[in-house]
Amino acid sequence: MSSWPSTFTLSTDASFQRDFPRLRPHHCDLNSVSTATPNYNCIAWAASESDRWWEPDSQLNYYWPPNVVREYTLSAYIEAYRSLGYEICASEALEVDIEKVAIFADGDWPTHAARQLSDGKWTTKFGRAEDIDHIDLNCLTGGIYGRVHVFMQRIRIK
Amino acid sequence: MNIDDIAKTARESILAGILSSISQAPTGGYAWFPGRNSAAQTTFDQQTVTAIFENRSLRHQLDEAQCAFKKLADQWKAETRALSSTKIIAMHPAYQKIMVMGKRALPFILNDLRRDENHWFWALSYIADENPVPPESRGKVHEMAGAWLDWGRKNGYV
Repeated sequence: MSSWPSTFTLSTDASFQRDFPRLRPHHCDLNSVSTATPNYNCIAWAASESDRWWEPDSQLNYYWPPNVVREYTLSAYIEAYRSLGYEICASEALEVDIEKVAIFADGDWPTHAARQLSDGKWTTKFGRAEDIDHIDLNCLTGGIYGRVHVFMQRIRIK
Repeated sequence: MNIDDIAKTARESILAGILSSISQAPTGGYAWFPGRNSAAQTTFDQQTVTAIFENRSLRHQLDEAQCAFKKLADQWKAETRALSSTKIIAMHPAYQKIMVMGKRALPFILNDLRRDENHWFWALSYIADENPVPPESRGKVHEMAGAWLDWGRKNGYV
């Protein structure tokens, strides 16, 4: 049984097991762990950005796509990804030349987003901690991210 | 501005008050010399004693506030690392307690921001009731931190 690498510092947090009750090392590509950084969040990372934090805060601290309503609702987050060319799709199944994102929510409150890689794995940025690639989306459910509510897709940009 | 700088500024301020009282003493600078002028000596001694006690009290209060801030900041940082919404992050009880400190917390927050660029922006814009971050820097944590540190310097908090 594998264990978390020391580079995945989030795994040492006291609340890790409670926050991610299904996540285990064998769900992840342990070589893919990034450095922890507060510079971008999962919403930005799913949009393939790593230089700014995306959030629809009313104080206008953070980046949010222009002309998309600044509110913490699924519809606003869907519109944010739609501004990048994504459209709602039916499933997480891997499709050739298609890039997908999954939006997690707790009720109508968006909690997380993950992006599908060309090999079928998904990549997730954990808040201000690291990002890591994982084999499916189910391993992130059941904790603080709730469950996947929406899948979106666009033509993969090469 | 760190705790030592704050204490130094306070001490200098108190010392300036003492020197001011000396310059106003009728003995022209010999007020501290025993027996030279009892009236001036009395005035000086009272102010000195007051200053010493005020300085110790101020230093003690600053140390206490600094310790309280650090404890709350460490707790907040440790318990919210996986969250991607600063609105939720800012709802953490420790973060809320820091916000309740109001402007007293600004030197501590800005000092922490200088060492560890983290998401203090919700608290800063709430306490300061303004936002110096230009639109093009929204979400770019390093630039946001720079804008707030500039604001802190202009307003005497750094």
